[in-house]
Parts: sequence; structure tokens; C-alpha cells
Amino acid sequence: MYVDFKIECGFDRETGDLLVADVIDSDSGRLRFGEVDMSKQSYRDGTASLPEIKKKFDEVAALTDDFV
Amino acid sequence: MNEPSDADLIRESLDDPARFGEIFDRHAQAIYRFLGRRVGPDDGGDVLSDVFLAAFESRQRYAAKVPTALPWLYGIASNLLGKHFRKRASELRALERVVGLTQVDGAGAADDAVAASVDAQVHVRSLAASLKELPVAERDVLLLHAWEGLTYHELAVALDIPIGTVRSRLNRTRRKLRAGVDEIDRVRAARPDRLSPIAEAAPAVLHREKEKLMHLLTEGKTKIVEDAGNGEVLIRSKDDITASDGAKHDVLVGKAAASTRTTGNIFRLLERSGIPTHFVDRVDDVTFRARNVQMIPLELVARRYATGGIMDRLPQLRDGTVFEELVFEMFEKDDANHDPLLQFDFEAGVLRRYVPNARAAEALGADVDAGDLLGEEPIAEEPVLRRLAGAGRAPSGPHRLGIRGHRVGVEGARRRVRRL
Repeated sequence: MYVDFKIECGFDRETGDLLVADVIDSDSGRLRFGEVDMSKQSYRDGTASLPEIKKKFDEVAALTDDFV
Repeated sequence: MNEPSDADLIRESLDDPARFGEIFDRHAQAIYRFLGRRVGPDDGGDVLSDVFLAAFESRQRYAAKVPTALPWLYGIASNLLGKHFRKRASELRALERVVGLTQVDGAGAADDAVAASVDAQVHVRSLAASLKELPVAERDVLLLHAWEGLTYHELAVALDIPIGTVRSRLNRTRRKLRAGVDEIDRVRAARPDRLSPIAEAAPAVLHREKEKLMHLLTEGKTKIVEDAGNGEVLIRSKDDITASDGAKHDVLVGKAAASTRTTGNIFRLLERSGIPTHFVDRVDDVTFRARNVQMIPLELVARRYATGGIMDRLPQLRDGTVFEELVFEMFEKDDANHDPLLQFDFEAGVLRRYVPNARAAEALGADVDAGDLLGEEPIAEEPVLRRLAGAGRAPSGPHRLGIRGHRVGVEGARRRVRRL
């Protein structure tokens, strides 16, 4: 579940269209599987080791493959 | 051809970040001396590039109200000092050191001149103590006035506050220092380099800090954006992972690939759902092609559960409280001013800024709490919107930002909580 997340937007420099921009990744919000944090929050809080964090990011990335 | 003004350079830097290097060339020495007076030249030199980086990141908010960018840079430097040196409690170190020096000089001496200097030294020491007692916001306005010689108008620009607030803050500060003579003159006389000179920044220091700055201007902390022509850019993620304003930094091999994969998948899902994004296509594991956009300096946040900064503002919430209706909040990306929470009140025609969280409150002063109102200004005069409106290619007016009707901010969240 997403506890919270953020996005950033910008205007296309040629067309002026309002677009969702920047990136949307594991640093964009607090994502939890049950009670377990799967986002960069674990890094901020220092609650997981670097290899554990890497594993979380990979797992989330693989799951987003189902979106497309 | 005339020299470009500071305002010209800052405007050009919106499209060409490297132009900001000239702002450094023009004002680095002045900012170095300012930092030297406040924290001593050694530590000051180390944060020189940070000041200009923070300025660069908030350059969309620069409004050319005075001919030079210097007051604006002083304001940013003051804010940064609060952030960098808060924990070490070492601000005003320069003044303390000067006091230390005069102490040694005066010891045991008896003639009138030395007696007078001992007298002055006692004054300076008591002054240093009372300066430390002042809330950060009051100390900043006082020292920018007394040491840097900023006028009321320049102070208003530097600290982004109305001139009436400058006046009342200075008066309050003056009353607190209460010394019987003209307090501002007393503070002015105790400027550290009046008592013991601060050397100019060595060319090597300037060179090192400029290199650091230029590197950061053209290369972000976690990604590199490169112009690809045809109105497109290439965005390459890096394996660097940072937190707490860069205080924490690691390299996590494979992070760039995971980020690019996640981003690409989510943007494609958004596009398919009818939400336009800048995403064009993925180029390789760590790079994607995107439309070239002028970023809006706002973070748009949606919250389903209460945790983090919102808890600081609404302490009556239980951690993990579920919001039945998503809480939508907007923060201004303005590092130097602690990324305030914004509330657009279209009925009243004003934009309000609030202290976003406990960390920012701490940096702003002892009497400041998360959720406190920082200030308000008419929406029509608001620098972020004005710059967007003036961007030419960008649509103008707040409604085009898709924020009309949203009741954001503290009040909105409070109302929602009451309903739960």
C-alpha cells in the first residue's frame, strides 16, 4: 500500500502542455507491503542494510512490469 | 553590448544552468566575507558552493526587486547557516574567537588604552552572549542590517518578508538587546572583521568551490539530464542514493536500473490512463527519453495514511490514521526556505506559506512550530506563479496549474480529520 507519495510536474517547453515529469520510483513515497517498508524510507530511517534496500527496489521494479 | 544584469543571468540560467557560474564569480567574495563574519573563514569557505547551489535551486523565485542579487544571496546564506550549523551550535564562532583574542591581549595590562580595550572586550562578550540568545530569525535580520549594511528594503528582499515585518523584527530585537545606547551601533562596532580582519577568499578556495558548484549545476545528485534536441531530453539515473540533504550518501549498484524500470512502467500506466507525462521511451537500463519541460518548483503530495511531516503539524492525529479522502498537499521546492507548505486561497486571493515540519521549525527558531503561518501574499504577486506566467510558452494563471478548488494545507487536513 502507498502511505503517501509525491509527483512533480512541468510545462513542455515546445507545446506548453502540463505534464507529469521527473521520475516516479522507490524514492517517490512510502510504500509498504503489510508492515514492511519497501521504499527509500528504509534508507532514510537506517532500518535496512544496503543490499536489503537494493532487493526492495528490485522487487518493486519487477512488480511494476505487470502495469504494462 | 552592456554587461548582463544579475537578473538577466539568473533568467538565462533557467535554460542554461552554466550561466549561473557568473553569479558565483560576481558575488562569491562578498558571500565568503559574510560567512567568515558569522562562522569563521575556515567553515565559511566550505559552505560557499552550498549557498550558490541553494540559490540556483530557488532561482525561479528570484524577483529582481533591487539591482543586485546580493541581498537575495545574503538571505539564502543566512537560512543555510541555520541549517548547517544549528547542531554544532557554532554560529557566531568568528565573534567568539575575536573575544578570545582580546582576552589574551588584555590580560594583566594596566594602562588606559588597554583598560578601554578590556572594557570593549567585556561589551563584545556580553553582546556575543545576547546574540546567541536571539531567535534565529531576529539574529539574521539584525546582523544583515548591522554587519552587511542592508537597508530595510534590501532586508525585505533578502528574507522574503514584508518591510513592516523587517521593521517590527528589528525593533523587537533592539528591545531585547536593551543596552542603554544605540544597540544597532553597538552590534555594528562588534563586527568580527572590524576587531580582527578576515582575509579575502584565497583563489584556491574560490576555484575549488566553483568547481564543486559547476559540477552540481550540470549534474544532479541522482540523475543527469542531457538535451537531446527536438524538444527532448535524456534522463540518466545514477546509482547514488542520498538522504538528509546529502548528509547521508551511498552508491547502490543497480539502483539506477531499478529506478528507470519503475519510472518507465509507471509513466506508461499513467499515459494509458489518460494522464499526460513527459515520458517518451526507454533508451537503456538506466536512461529514458522524455519531453524537455520547464519544471514547476512544487512537490505535489497525496496522503492516504498520516505519518511523517503531517504529524508534526497535526499532533492530535494518531500515527497511521487513515484518511478516507486523500489529503492533497503542495510544497514549494525552496531548499533555502525549508520547502514550505503552500495553501492557495482563491476566495481571499492569497497564497499562504506554512512551516512544513518539525525539522524546519527547529531551523527557524525556538518559538516556531510546525504548521505556523510563515506569511501570505496576493496570488497575483506571487513569484512562482508570476515567473510561470511570464515563461511565454507556459500557460498562465493558477487555474492552469490544476489547483483551483483544492483546499490544501493545514486547514484542509484539519477539516478532513474532524470528519473521521
